[in-house]
Amino acid sequence: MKRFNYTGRKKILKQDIRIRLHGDFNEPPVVDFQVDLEGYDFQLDAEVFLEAWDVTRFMRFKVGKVSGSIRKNNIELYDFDDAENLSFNIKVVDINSGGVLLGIAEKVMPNDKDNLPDKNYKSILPVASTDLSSYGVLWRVEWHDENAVLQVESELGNREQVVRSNIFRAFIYPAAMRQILMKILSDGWDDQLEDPDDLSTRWLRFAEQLGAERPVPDSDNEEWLDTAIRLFMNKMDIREKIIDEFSEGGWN
Amino acid sequence: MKAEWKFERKRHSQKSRDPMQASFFTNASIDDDTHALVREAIQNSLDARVDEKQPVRVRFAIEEHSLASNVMSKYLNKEAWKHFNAADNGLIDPPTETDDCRYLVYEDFNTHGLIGDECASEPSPGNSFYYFMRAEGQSGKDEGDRGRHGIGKYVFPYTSGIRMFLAATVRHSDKRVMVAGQSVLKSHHVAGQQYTPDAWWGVFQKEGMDDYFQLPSEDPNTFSEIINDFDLKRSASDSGLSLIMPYVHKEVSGKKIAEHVASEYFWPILSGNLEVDISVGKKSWVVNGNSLTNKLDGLLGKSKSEELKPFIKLANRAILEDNLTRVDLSLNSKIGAPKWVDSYLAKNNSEKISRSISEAGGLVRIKCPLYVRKTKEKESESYFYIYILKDSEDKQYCTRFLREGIMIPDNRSSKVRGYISMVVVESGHLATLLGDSENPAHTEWEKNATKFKGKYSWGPSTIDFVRLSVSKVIKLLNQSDSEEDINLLSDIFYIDLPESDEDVPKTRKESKKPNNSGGDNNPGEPTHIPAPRPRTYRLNKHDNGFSLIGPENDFDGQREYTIRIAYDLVGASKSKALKKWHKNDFEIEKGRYVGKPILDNVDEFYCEGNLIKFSASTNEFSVVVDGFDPNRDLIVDVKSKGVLNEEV
Repeated sequence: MKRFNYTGRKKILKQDIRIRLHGDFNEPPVVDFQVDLEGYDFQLDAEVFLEAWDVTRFMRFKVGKVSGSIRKNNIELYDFDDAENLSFNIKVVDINSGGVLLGIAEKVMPNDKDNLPDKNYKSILPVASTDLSSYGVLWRVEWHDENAVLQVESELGNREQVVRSNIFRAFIYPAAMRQILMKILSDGWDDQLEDPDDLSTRWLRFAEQLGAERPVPDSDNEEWLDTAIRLFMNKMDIREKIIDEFSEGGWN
Repeated sequence: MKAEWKFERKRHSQKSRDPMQASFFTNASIDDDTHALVREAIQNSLDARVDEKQPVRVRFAIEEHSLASNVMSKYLNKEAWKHFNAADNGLIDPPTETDDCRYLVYEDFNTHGLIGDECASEPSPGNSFYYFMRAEGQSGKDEGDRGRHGIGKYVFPYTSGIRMFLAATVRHSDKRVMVAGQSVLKSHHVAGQQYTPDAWWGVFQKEGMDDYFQLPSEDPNTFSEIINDFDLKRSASDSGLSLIMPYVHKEVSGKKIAEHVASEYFWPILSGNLEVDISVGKKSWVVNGNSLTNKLDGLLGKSKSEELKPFIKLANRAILEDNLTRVDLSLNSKIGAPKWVDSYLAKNNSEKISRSISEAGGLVRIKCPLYVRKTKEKESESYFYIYILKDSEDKQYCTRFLREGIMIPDNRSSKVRGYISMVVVESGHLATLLGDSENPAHTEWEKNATKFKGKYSWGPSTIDFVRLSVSKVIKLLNQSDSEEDINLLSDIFYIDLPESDEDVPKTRKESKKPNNSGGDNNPGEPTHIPAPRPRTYRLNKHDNGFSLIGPENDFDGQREYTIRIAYDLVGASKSKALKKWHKNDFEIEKGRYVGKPILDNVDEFYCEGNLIKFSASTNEFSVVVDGFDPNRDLIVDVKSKGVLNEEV
């Protein structure tokens, strides 16, 4: 799957950007910002913008005209309570030509005050506690946007306790993973696997990471599915543990 | 007057007795006799603390006197040995007079010693001499003290192979020194005469024709002699109690003592309330904050140390960290039994707790207030603390309960995965209630304990409230779980994706090429590059559109091609953008807002909306589509397959 960029907009690599939080991720954010634009050949009168956003909030700051390196410290993100899901876009805009976007970096995560990236890197399987009584089940996979979300019955208690339990790992993870992969196989996937925002790309890359090859288009891929699940369970290394537990009366 | 042994003849009217106190310490939570000894001895010492600003110091020492040294003959004469070797005294394989004597010393400092009227034969408050030396199943401890059953003292004779101890005390109250000893056997026979279980080593005051009253010796020479003979560290000015248990059981070892001291008393040690010295011959250990924090492996061995380390870490941080996250819950508005309900752990608090423990190493202290009411009295406010630390290794841990410094193993609380937790009850009304409910070994809170049942309103509910507190808190944290957690399974379901350099200008790539000066050993250079997959088409960008042409090499048979096209959307993936195509973007078959496709060497052409399908029998085919909006990015997805299911 190809994306054709007709406007000549350039991508700014994340390695050229540094956004450092002054405090912890759970504090109202104040950031220092730096972008290194050497080598991008942007016109020098273009304006650079920093945009902070999360699911429901957005702030935009003009940080200066294009130059080799742009810095701005103590940017106070007063519309945000914390930096938990905060990310940034950096845009280089030609304001003399009606706002043509000359360059962009998207979804840049801030570093903490020690300049370390946020330790909480993202999972490809978000978890949510939900009232599932209307479904009559204790867990299910919910599909929305480009996400598959593992929903767990809220009455079971703390979701971390639930999804990290051995039973969940042994029985639910493989079933949920199979369900997700089957839907991807049925809906089709981007065989270039180059867009990490794409659900199929994330999960097929995950399967590749486990050691599975890519599925074959227009085939039932039953064998591929079994292989992917087997590789995943090998990695989880929980099968024998559960058998031991249950041989000691775990079903009782 | 010189101290001597006296075994009391059993009168016809007296019952035969087999002291049963030891059975109170044989439960699942007490591993061995050393465990019971360490728990009870230190608990008594902590209760007897004098200067609250200084730690209580205790000392365990295991030494040996050879038979040739003749030391033990000063304390055990031939007459006494007849009793210790009596066939029916209840001892299994007891030592004999000709054996060497391995003995255990327990001493405490900065403590009161055995105080009170030593001549009293009735209980009176504060008379620890009476309760220790003269009472069985009675305790002079106040509410708020750690012990209270009067059973704990039995661990001392129980450690000895002849059920015996010698005691030397310096009393803080009047600075007097006293020495006495006891042995607790079963009712037994010597030379056809039956004797009661209890024997005294001390001085005796005659009372009537054949009765007497046991008293400790206050002879300074006897005190000095016992200090020297057993290498005690007490001087006549150091208040406290020294106990010697001769012929100590061989399973009592320095290693076990250290292990139990560390696992039972790490909290008072880390908080500076207790210091423990242990020595066996010339080998010695100091169990203090430093050794618990930095030398635990050496103290306990790797395996035991690994079990305890998470709790040491939690306790250290809980005690020392000034900027600990503290969450104080509010009392339930209605006076009554404490309950873990949603309103008790309000949403703002549960969110604060969740935030604090969401990362590995996150620690929070939760203050849980509650009402305690003795039956027919007015209720009092009390509280306890829960400490929860997020574990980095995701293991399962039981909560540890600490009541006024004593660990209450309570193995009925369930394990919690991913969190290390402790419940700490400081002295106060709740501590008194829980102490009343404890069994004699202080290992469980029992709702039907004799000192507890009927004494409190909401007593059983209060025990459950404390016992289940950690699991209830973690369950109630669910209140703040309504949002999706994108990090929870990030150690299991994750991908390592390199950043795409699509649209990055060449000038940027050239100006910052990585330095590959590593020569032949450049680790960034792959050693094996797999052959690229054979191409079945070439997709090229035009000014306002694209062209799809055949590959450079011809292919066998016929191939089918499917093209789907859409404008890109901000914040959407390519797949999503394709799904979001709308007829008002363009319609290919109508040439609406886009040019009609220009075809060459294609068969079975079909198009509709944003879809184009065709087949080709030669690589010299082309499909060109122009006329798209040049201000928008275009997503083009091409799929190709051999008509005879010959996948390429």
